[in-house]
Amino acid sequence: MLLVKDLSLLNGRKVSLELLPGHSYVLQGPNGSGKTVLLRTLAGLYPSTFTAFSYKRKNFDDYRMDDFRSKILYVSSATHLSLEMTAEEYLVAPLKLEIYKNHTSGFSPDEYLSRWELRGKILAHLSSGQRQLLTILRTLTLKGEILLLDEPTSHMDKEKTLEVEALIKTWQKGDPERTFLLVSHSEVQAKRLGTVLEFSDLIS
Amino acid sequence: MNYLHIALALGLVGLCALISKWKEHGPEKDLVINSLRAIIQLSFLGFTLTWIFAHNSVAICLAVAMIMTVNSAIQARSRIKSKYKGLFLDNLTATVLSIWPLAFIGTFLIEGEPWWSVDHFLPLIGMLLGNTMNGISMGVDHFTHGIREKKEEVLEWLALGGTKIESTRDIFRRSVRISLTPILNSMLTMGIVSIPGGMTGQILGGSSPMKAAFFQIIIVLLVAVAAYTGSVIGLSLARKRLFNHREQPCF
Repeated sequence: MLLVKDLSLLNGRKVSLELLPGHSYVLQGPNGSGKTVLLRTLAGLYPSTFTAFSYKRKNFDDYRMDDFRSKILYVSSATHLSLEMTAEEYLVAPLKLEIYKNHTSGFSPDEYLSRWELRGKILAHLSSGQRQLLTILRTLTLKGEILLLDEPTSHMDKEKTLEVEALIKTWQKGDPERTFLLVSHSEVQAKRLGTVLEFSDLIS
Repeated sequence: MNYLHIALALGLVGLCALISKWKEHGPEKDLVINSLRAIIQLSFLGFTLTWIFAHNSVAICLAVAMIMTVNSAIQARSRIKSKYKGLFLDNLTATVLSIWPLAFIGTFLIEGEPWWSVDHFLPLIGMLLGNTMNGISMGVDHFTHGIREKKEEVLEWLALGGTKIESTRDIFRRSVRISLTPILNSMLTMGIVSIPGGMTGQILGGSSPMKAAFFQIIIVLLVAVAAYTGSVIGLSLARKRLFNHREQPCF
């Protein structure tokens, strides 16, 4: 579904890989190996060269960038938007973008806002783990078809980690083509979630 | 008025420089050197304008205006700390597109004369350059510095599906605001707290205060328009350069 051949990364390496529809992948590799750079390059955020780069058999360069990125949705492990926002404002912030005009996703984060006691809270007053919870909720309201999740649960406790994993799996069941690639340093999490990709094996 | 008067005014500057040296305040050297520079530059301007007006040649007038425009773009570039490749050319384009049409319009508004009225066009374009260049370069610097400092925030918006325009909208808006701040502030105090330099010069030179006020009104409105158009053009060009055709940041 998402296919890249000899995709150049900022650190000079080249990678090749293919993500299949409906699959779950966990990307592993040592610190500094370039996992984040790979995810960002796959999402079309960093300049790169390639011999092939396509999604659903349509070439990367034939997509409008905002359309491509809303489908191949990269999610950073920490937000860099203004921390003066409330949880609710943070969740709806992307909806002011043109690409989400008339967009409604089936997912409603309301229940989780209450359950995780995030309602009305200002981002600056939340812990890193709580902000990660909000980021996941926000991601699921958008229209990503492939989620590229960069250590999404790195600051969460065990219980929340499992809840979030279940949430992602539920999202995946909403459409047979939904796929995710998640970066994790935890062997246990990797085993729970899906196919393990070793970063060094992707280098072409 | 003769050279003795200038010498007296310069003497006051010299006195300040002596006090500054005695009290070790620091700026005595700059005070003296920059004062001498101003005297030389303004005398030169006086001679040159006399010469140009005497010839009344459109070609010479436009050539001098072009030299002033290029100089202003060089100055603007040197004031922008956070530079990028192509900055000088963008400054020049922004200045030419915003200020030149306004100088023509201004010449027409002031006397109802056609644009080749050399003795109005040249002072006007100089005035517009002087009053807008600083604001525009401050705005562009805020933008280029801002998107580099907040690269992660810009990337987050891009990742969410924002276009390059949407992803830099907040910084762009703040930058336009910064470009306009000097003129907006001076418009507020003009005539209440301050008498603009140009108007002072005219009144001292013998014009009626009403006539001087009329010129000043036209000038201040033109400066506001020039600052706005110049900053929007300059910022748009900067934004265009700092992303590639795939809307990926190259800064």
